[in-house]
Amino acid sequence: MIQSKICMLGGFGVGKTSLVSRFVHSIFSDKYLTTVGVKIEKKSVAVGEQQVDLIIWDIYGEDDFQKVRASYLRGSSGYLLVADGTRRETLATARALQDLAQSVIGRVPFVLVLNKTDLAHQWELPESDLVDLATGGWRIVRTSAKSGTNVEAAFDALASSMLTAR
Amino acid sequence: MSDDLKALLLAIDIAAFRREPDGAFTPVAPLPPWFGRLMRDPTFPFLGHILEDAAEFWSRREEGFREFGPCADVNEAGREFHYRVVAVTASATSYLLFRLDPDAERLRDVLQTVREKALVESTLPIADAGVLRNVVRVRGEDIHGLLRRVLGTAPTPEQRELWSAISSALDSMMARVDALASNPSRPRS
Repeated sequence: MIQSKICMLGGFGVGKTSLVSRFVHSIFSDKYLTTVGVKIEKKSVAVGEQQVDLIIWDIYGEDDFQKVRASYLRGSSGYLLVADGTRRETLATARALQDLAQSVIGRVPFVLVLNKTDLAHQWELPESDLVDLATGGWRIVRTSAKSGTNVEAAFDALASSMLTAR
Repeated sequence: MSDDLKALLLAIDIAAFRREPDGAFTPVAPLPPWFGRLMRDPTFPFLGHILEDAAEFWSRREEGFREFGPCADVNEAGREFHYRVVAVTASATSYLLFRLDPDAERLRDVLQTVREKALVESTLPIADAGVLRNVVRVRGEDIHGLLRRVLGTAPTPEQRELWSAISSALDSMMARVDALASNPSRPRS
């Protein structure tokens, strides 16, 4: 059994905690609840024939009030960068956090998660920005924590990349 | 450990463990009820680098403590609570303490209010900017009142910094809403 720490990174209100709740407990709540500090959850996933215990650090959302502490990232084997498709500025926050993560833990696998596909009619992210990121090697998964769409796929993609990188 | 001290730790909701030479943790007093869910694995692997940093602190064998957190978890009733982890060295013995952190819950209440307003601002149609202006002004005053109650008359430097950041953000939010209200046809950035 492999045990790996992963982090959830992103601006506030993008759905990090909702994604973890959906993935670990199969539940979703429409009510936004801000996170203070870090919530630590655990879930086992199968990657091929290999079992991986994911220790998921759901870190508070970054904004003007709370900047992500670099120490939270230490020891991470990978991370999910989460942006809210209906708020363009959250993509910039995700990019800044990717810079921070890379400076702290180096080039470890990560997946950019564009959450809230259930609100596709309010989508604000320019496709050209996403094409640029994909061209730069970023793996991008579109999810909805509300409906559950692609949530497991996002975590599975990260776990798979982490195993490949070992 | 004396019975008095054990009773005291339980009464103030602190879960206390002695770190054994093999790295295991032994409770030194009855564990408070809130701690139950964290005991799923008594080696606390979920603490990750916190335990690594604590081990480094203990290895120095200097009397004192080092605090980590806040961390959050959900109790059996589904209610979220916050706690801090404290590595202690005393009388050449290493301890690991877990204590509830009500300050984190008060901070969450403040941030919740501020961020809910920010989310409303980012999703409200521009035509409603005039209405939003009044909402932000009133809730801004609410937030300042809440901060005064939470931080009291002698805030720590860290709390003063947070207060200042929230005040600046409120001012900035108000300026943006003012701009929207005075020019509602301007496209949202």
